Amino acid sequence: VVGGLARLSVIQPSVGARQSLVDVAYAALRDAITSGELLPGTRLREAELAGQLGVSTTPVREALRRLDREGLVHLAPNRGARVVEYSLRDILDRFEVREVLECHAVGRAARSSVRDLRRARALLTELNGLIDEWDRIEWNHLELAFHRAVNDLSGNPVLAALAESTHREVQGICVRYLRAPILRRESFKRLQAHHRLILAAIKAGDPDAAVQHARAHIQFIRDSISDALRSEGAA
Amino acid sequence: MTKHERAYQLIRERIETGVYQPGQRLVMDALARDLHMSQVPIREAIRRLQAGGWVIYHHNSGPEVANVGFEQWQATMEVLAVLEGHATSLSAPHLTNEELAELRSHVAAMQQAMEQFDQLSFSDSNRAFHRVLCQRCPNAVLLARVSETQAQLDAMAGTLFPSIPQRGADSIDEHLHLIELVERHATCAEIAAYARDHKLRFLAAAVRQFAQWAQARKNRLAISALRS
Repeated sequence: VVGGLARLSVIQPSVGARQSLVDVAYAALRDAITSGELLPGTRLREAELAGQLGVSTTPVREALRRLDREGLVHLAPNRGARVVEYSLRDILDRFEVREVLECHAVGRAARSSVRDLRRARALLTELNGLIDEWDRIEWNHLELAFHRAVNDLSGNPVLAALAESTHREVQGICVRYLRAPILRRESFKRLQAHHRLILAAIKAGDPDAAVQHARAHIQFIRDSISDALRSEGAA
Repeated sequence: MTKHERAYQLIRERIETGVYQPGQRLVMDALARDLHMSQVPIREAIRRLQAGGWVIYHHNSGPEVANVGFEQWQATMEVLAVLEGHATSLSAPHLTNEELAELRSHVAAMQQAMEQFDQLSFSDSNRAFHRVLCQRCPNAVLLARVSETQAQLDAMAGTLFPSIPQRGADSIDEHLHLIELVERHATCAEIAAYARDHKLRFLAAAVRQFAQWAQARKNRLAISALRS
């Protein structure tokens, strides 16, 4: 995932812009956490981090707050910050939240009168290209974008944004906890089949089918991940 | 992923996380520097953000981050309906008899508040009712999302509504029906759908109320234009 974050860390501080320093601190910490450099449970001391990053403690504090909101860091009042530790329960809980939000979104999308599927289709085609030329980082980016494009069809950007951040959290947790790949190549073909079925149901204006395929899709990934976690003994 | 897709995602994420604040101007030069991209993909991204309602365009000052308005409230309320509906269905099988009695006392308080035209107490009791109804939900992440979403709505509602419209008698009947569903061990799906639709009916009432206010404002403006 280091590569994925390197793509994100194109953000450089422009002179005197405090917000950009927050971006830099945020990207660096997110990178260190998601790549496993900072392990779950690690204490995060503001002064120490500020020294390492060459910034003052103010942007570090703000970056830690952002990471806390995104579920990567746990900020406890008067007890400082730690890299979050997850249990299988936390992951399953997030999958349930994602399922509730996305099933509602695709149902709404299938009922909506304007159904422009072009963006979702383009992303689907791009995902196809990754099955043979396996690239996990690019797959994670594109899958997130694909689901966002689908959920945007609900016409509710708040719903789509919350589903996306929940999806992103799960991706982050898996990348940190699972050393072996979660899914085999055949599984990705199956995921793509789910993706196609979701789009077809939306196009046909069939909300029940759209919900059913979205649910099957999310539950399939959830079960693959919990099996993998159990066999790695991480849970 | 194309450059403009990347630019679109980065800018949208910064708006969503509050890095770019409502009303803030989006200056092309600065964005191009920040994102290390040329202005072409950024311009394309801004057009899409504008179409999605994230960005508004001013003739003399260019694009800026859109202010949250009624639509944002409406969209957030729908999210709360969906999340809280599911949390309710997960909590229901674990509710104790004491908690069911507490739920009934909150409905009685709502009834009393309605008779005394006390909208504030009505709201408080309604809130307390749903808090108890959800509190046994075993999914901690879901419960956290419910309270965050509620907090976002509270922050917006103050600026949008002189008061939140109530549906009085209908709403009280629906609360009683929710208790009944819990007592007769209705299925998870049935409880989730009913609790969700209960909130969505409130949302629909708020939408009608908001439209009436907007119309009244328009009428007032039209009248004062006629007078001058």
